[in-house]
Amino acid sequence: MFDFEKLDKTIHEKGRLGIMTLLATRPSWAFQDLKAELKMSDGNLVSHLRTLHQAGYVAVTKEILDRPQTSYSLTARGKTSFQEYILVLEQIIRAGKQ
Amino acid sequence: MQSENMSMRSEAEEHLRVIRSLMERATIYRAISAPAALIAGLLACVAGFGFAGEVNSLRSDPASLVAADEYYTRDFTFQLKWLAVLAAASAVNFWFLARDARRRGDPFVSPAMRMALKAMLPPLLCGAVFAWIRPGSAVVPFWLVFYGLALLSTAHFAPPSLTRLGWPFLLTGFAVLLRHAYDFGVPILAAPWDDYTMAATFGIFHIIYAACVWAKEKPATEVVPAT
Repeated sequence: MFDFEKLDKTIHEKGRLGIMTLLATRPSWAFQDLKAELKMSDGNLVSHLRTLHQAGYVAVTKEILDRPQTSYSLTARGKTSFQEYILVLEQIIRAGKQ
Repeated sequence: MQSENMSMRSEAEEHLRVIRSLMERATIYRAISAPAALIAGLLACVAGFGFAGEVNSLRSDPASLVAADEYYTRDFTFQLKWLAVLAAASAVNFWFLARDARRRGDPFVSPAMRMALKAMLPPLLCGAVFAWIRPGSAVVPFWLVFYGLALLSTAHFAPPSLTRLGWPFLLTGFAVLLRHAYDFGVPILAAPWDDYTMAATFGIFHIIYAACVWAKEKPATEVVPAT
């Protein structure tokens, strides 16, 4: 019997899962790029990013290029949690097949 | 309980599908690092502009254009020189890619690198085969075209700068190919401008690419620590 409590609820929400997945693909993502890729509203994206930041999964970088820009990246803890989350998903699928 | 398990399993499968599809769409892999491009460019400039002298004198001396065997011996040196440049540039590039992978904590042969190799291998293989069957510098336009195609084949996961590097190679390759079309039926020996073309393309184009990538690098930034 699989223990579903092992699933990280912070990542399991679909919007945050999308954010974590994108952040896992590149060293960093600008806010506007995340928004365009995930097709989320500003408010929704900000809210999910805040949750992930508070969980210690996401680091925020503010910089001045031509204009102020905020970009996001996974922290070491975020990377580990995301990898563990994927392992748990795979375990659930395996357990379901047995 | 059984139905709950089934629903969790299908949800897990759905989430893994989302992860895979987003990752495939968003992965960016730079198959040619900027420092490696700079070194490769400089090597090509030295080989093309600096060591074209001997070939030039052979070309300009009609008395030296005697036997077909001689053409091929000399042509072989042209290809050998540029294959040596390719080997050195590739070694440097792999070294920088390995260093970057170590910094990111990724394995050297990452899924992204496998994807890049899969995309680039067919055009590069064509370039190698044409080098084998075409004499001497007649291979130059084919190298340019197939290298350009190899770069363009990475368009769906490479940064735009790498794709932009592919177009000049492809177009210059076509231009050189048109020029070579007038040489058909004539024994082809490495002309001065074949070396210069190699230097101007594999040399200068790579140096410009490295400069553009560095120019776009970001200034110092402020990181907000996780709370």
